[in-house]
Amino acid sequence: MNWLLNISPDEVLVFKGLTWGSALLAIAGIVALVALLWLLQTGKPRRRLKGLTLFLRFAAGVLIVLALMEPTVRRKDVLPQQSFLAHAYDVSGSMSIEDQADKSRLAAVLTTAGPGAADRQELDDQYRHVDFVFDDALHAQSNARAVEGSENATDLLGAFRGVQLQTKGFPMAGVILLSDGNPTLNEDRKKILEAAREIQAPVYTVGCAPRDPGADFWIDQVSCPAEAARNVDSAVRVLVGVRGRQGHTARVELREGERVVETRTVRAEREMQALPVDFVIRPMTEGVHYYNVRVSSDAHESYPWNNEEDFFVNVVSQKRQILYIEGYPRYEYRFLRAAFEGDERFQVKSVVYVTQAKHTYRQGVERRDELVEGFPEDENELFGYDAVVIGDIAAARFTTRQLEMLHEFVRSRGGALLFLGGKDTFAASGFGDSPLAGVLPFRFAASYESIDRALPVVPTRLGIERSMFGPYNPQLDSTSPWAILPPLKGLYPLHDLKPGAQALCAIDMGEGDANPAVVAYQRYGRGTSLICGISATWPWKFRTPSDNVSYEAFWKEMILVLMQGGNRKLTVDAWPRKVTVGDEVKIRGSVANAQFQLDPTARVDLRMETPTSGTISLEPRASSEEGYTFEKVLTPSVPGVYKILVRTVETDEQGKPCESEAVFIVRRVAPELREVRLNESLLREIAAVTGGDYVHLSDYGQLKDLIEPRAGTLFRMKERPLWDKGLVLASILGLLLIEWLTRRLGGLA
Amino acid sequence: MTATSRDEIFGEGVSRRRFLATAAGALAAAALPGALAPAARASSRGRAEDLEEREFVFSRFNYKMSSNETNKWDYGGEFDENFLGYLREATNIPVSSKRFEERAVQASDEASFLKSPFWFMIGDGDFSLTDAERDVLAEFFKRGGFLWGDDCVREGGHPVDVFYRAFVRELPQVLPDARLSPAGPDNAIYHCFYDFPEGKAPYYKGGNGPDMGLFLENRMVAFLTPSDVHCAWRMDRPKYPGLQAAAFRMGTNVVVYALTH
Repeated sequence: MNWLLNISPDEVLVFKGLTWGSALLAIAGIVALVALLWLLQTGKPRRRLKGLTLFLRFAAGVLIVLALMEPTVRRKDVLPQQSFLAHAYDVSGSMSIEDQADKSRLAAVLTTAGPGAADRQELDDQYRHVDFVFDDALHAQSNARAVEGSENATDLLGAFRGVQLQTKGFPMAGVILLSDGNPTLNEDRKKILEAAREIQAPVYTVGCAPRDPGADFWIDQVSCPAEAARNVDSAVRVLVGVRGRQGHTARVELREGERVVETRTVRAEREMQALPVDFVIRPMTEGVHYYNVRVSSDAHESYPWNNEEDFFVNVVSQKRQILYIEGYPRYEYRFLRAAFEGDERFQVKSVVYVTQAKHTYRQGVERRDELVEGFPEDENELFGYDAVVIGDIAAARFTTRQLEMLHEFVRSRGGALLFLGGKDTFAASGFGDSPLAGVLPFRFAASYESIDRALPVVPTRLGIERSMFGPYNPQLDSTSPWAILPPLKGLYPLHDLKPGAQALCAIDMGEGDANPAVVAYQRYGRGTSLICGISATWPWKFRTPSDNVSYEAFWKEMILVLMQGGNRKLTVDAWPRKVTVGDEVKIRGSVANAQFQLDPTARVDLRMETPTSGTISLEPRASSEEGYTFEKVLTPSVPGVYKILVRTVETDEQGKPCESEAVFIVRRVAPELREVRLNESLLREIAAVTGGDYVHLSDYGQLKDLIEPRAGTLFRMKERPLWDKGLVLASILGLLLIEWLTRRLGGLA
Repeated sequence: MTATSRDEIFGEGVSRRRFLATAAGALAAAALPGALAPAARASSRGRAEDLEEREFVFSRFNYKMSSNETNKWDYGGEFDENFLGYLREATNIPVSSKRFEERAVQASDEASFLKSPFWFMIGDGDFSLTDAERDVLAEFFKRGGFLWGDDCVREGGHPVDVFYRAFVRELPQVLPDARLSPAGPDNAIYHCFYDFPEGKAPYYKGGNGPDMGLFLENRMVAFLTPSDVHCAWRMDRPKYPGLQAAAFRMGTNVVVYALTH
């Protein structure tokens, strides 16, 4: 059959028009033909002749039926395919820096590796190309000639995820990433490397900044308390970045307005380092004080725009009241209490259960009967606190009424709740079933086990921004408290954070593992709640040199993180507190009545002190966000410090309006332009984990030898119909002609 | 049921029944030879990883006395066990069950002192700290450590207050900025769990000096008792009715104080 129809072994015969009816007809016809052939052999000559004509008619019919079944020969054709090569161009703000022989970094990239460039053309000839551009988002570039720079941040993680989605299923010979390698969004190195790996193609990274950037001093980070006490010294730590200035000195000047507070001189000991510079401020008046710190040297500065930074401190005279309830005497309690002792900004009252029964030991109380039940007597007493710390304590120590009061303390009063993880707080059937479960920024699991080995705790990007342990640059600074803190045992990873929660610290699980959050917080109603999954932080204090006060700074900052926002009857805040010219700032606030219930009908007078235009009135609108009653969105265009002043139109019980204020800073220079060096280590690491290679832009031409085509194939089904051939028609006609002639010549007609 | 508060304002004892049960248990344990006896003179070196983060470790300070014959830093380890048994019963403090030799610490290296922020030191003779030991102790105190010294008076040993006087001489040299003075009857160490209305530790043997405190910026980092509280943990004696109970109570107060101040 195969030889007859010329079907090779890799081909297959199918009947495309096969139906039940045609199949039955064909089978019946073939059976009839076989029967007739048998009759032809056995009958008399005349009957044989008749039988022959009948056979010929049937044979023609069968042929017609078979033709109607559309017999077709199918073959799977393998088509060789050309590999794809993607170019991803970084067009973020840092690529506009003009340090490439008077050209911007992006212009240099387009000259060397842009569409039409000679080296790029060679790659285009060999591969099918697809182009992307990315800054804080990835876009496919249909017309690569129109690549333009932006002022946006760099999101390498997002870029890799985008490339992975858009190239999935294609035979990718590789992805060429052209960037200076400095992510300013989603900076988690491990996640970036993981996303790069998931592309499942080699990533060839091209360093697009000078190998040897110009010498530079810059203000890397500033750390100061969010709140300071009046007439009390507060420490400000500035991290000055230095590159290429070994042996040189620079002046670091701290100013408040036009007044120079203090000047320090620093000396660079290495080619590349971060120099911590400590200042002390002693603000004498209440309210917001803003400062400027700048670094200058006599030598030429290649990047002069990153030499100063503004920051502000809110000076308060009223002590923040903290209530701390602990389940049993333990060092965590003792060290945590000690962290706040002697600080004018805080007053701590604490209760610790000392027996399995209800015996308690109270500290910091002012009355004989204060907290004698282990908890404030009523809402009025509880609402007098600004923050409540729940230590390692079983939920059963509280009554349902007390837990409901805590819930309202956060939701209505706008208080801060700090929940410390531990064996008792994470016990099954504990707080997970209580009114507090809704307040906390994570969902309780059925059971919790702490990690049984000591692991480092590291700040997230938000944690670094909050400077909870002072300024920290993991790239430059190996002496930061974060870098030298001992690993901790008893860590509870918070795998199930709620959508609005923000992680401040994570557990460093080691290379390649995702880092689960261990400290996180969220707004709830008018207040804030924070979960600390570190059951014992005191070893940080006990196992680090005594002159290191970062443990105290960590806990105070933690409390201040929680307290910012609504904890008074009138609140206002600005977010983000530091933006760059052109960024949006949201002013939000709330007004509550005497019972701390939000009053959306209350009117407020909202004003803003600007750096250049004096004080202007703002028209707030009703806020749709939970916990706020009014809001206003601004896009400031002038750099400087902006102060928001709000007061209620209606007066309170004493006949006075309530007042509150907030501050935000508009930076002259975006974070994109602060870090100007080539991040070669990250680019090399990306190339290494994906099987690619790293080259500098000046060696872009080498890529054509480094990239290997990827074997890729596509399959196509090829069909060869057998039924519409002339031979079939001729056969049918021939059979009918022979049948007619047989009848004629045999005298049967 | 209302909660009872043991605080600076007023304190309250545990029930008599509970106390008797605890004391009986402790005595029974002490009577079993070897059951709780420490393997003394074991190495006191430890690693930073040995630090117990949740449980309270009652560490014994291994130091060198001036005379080798009376070098008894590890004397009466089984008395400690009596007391720790009481502490477990009377409070909800998670007390470590580490053996005596595992709890021993030395001021000669950092790895050892990181084992616990609470050190207990006894002796009946003179001692001098080396410069290195002073440095380590100073850092221990500044990081939040607490040291309790108790003058042990043994039959046929040194005059009753040699250790006491050595402690008073040596400790100020560890922290020149700190102040060594009588602890004072109002000190929370006498009222934080049980109330000692007279404001001093129970007396078994020893000199007549006052209980002393070493104060670093108002925080008492070291406490010295001249009255051999530790030996009173050994057993209840007909000659001193109620002394063992009082000594247990004092020890409990010291531990609660160290964990809360």
